[in-house]
Amino acid sequence: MAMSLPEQVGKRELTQLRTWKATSPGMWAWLTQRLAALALVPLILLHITYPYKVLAQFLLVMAVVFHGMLGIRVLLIDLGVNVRSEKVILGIVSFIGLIVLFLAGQHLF
Amino acid sequence: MTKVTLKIRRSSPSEGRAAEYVEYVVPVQPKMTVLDAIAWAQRNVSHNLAYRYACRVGMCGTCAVVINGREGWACRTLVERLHAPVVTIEPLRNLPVIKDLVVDMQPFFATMMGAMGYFVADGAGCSTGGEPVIRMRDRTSIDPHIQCISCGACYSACTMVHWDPQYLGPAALNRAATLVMDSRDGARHARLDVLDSEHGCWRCHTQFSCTEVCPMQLNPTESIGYLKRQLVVRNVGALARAIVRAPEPEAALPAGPAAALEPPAPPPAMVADGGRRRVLEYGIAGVLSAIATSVAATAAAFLRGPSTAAGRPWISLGPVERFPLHAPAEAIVDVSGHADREASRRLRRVYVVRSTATEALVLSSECSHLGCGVHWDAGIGQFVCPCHGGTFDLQGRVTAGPPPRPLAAYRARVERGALLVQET
Repeated sequence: MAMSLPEQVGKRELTQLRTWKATSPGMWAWLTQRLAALALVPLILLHITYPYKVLAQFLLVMAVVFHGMLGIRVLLIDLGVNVRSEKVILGIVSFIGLIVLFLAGQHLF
Repeated sequence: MTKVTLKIRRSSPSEGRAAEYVEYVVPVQPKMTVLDAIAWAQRNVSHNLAYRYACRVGMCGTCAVVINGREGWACRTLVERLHAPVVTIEPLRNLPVIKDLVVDMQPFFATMMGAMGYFVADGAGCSTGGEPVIRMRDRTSIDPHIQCISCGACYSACTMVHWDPQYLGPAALNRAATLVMDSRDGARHARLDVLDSEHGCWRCHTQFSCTEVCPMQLNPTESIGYLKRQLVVRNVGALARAIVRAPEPEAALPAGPAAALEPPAPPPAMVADGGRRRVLEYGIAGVLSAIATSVAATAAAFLRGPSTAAGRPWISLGPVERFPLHAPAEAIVDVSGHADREASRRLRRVYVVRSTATEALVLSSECSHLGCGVHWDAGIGQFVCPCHGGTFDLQGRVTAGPPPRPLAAYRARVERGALLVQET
């Protein structure tokens, strides 16, 4: 038998459109929540330094709302509320998040 | 459509041929599946194209491949339903490629053993010569997850398997979950021990890729969630028992005849080290308790409200006669109650308005709008704020401008001729 290292297909090819077309809602939710988490770090610093800049505050609210609503979704999944409904949960929390974001935008702008 | 272009990832590691995407233009028949198309390409164009199939009717799972970026069975995917003129076909991910679309399934099957995905009879569940009784309650929870035929699609789709090659993966964990749910199983604690590791069910981050692609429409994420909850209950229970030094619940009943069939020991790397695990568990429990305590204390303080005024000391402003009747007089007094601060940060400017010989109103000079210092303008008989033009009357009520509230009044009383103000 050849002694070469086993070759595996593993990483998704991020430059290929088919990779993104095949990305499921569950994966989008996971990705969005992690990206929001990363965004929260500089946005919180911005919040402390420029409390009067409305745009910075709104971006922070956006990151908090996304991260929080998707976090609630993860909580529900961990408690077992996901038999057939994880996409439904995603839809519901996204909708509530957008409502909250809209209200926050009204208040700020 | 009359033709479809297959773009097949071809490679032959044993012959040293690197991976490349080869195109085949295949004529389309009605109801043609991807498997039909691959077979046409192999028979008519490239005789050495390697691919797998067995039943070709969607029962065995042998033909699992990645079609246009998504795992599926080639025999169950209709070409016309893909709505794509170019169909890219790649072998399953996370497994060594033998040739073209054929992968080595051995590591996948090994995860089944690694997760103890096999039934171990509980000696007492079998009566002498009889069968272990199946409970309907167990059956209801097991049935939605038992149909797995180990095709490997979920294992290929799971990104965590890519990042952690030792991760047991959705199929193995799903199978283990069906056994944990089975009350006839005799290896519950050993199995949970194996799953309770970073390469076990804790590696799952609920991305749902497995559930998305499972051709049997199973939900491994749900099974793994079930396992996580079982482990939490078990570990917290053990911790609680350790704290109150309660005895362990009775271990599995003495082995019956089935014990003669020794199951293979789980790989040693899977079982977390006892001492390290205890440190981790106590540490985590400690940190969680600290967080819970601080949150509870904060909530309690919030609900209780700011400290009541009853106990605070009264500060004398001197004889009340010093202050004229009906005309506000300024005074500087330390009513802040923060004895540790510098004097300049403690002193407050107040206005004393005497209405009668024994009654006085002590108003704060801080404008209720944005905190500027107001001054009494005797000409118009109002307190005036220079910042935005707010005015207050003799009682501190707002008469003009942006201030939203009256001037704050300190609690004051006259006792034995002296004017006393309560610390805030």
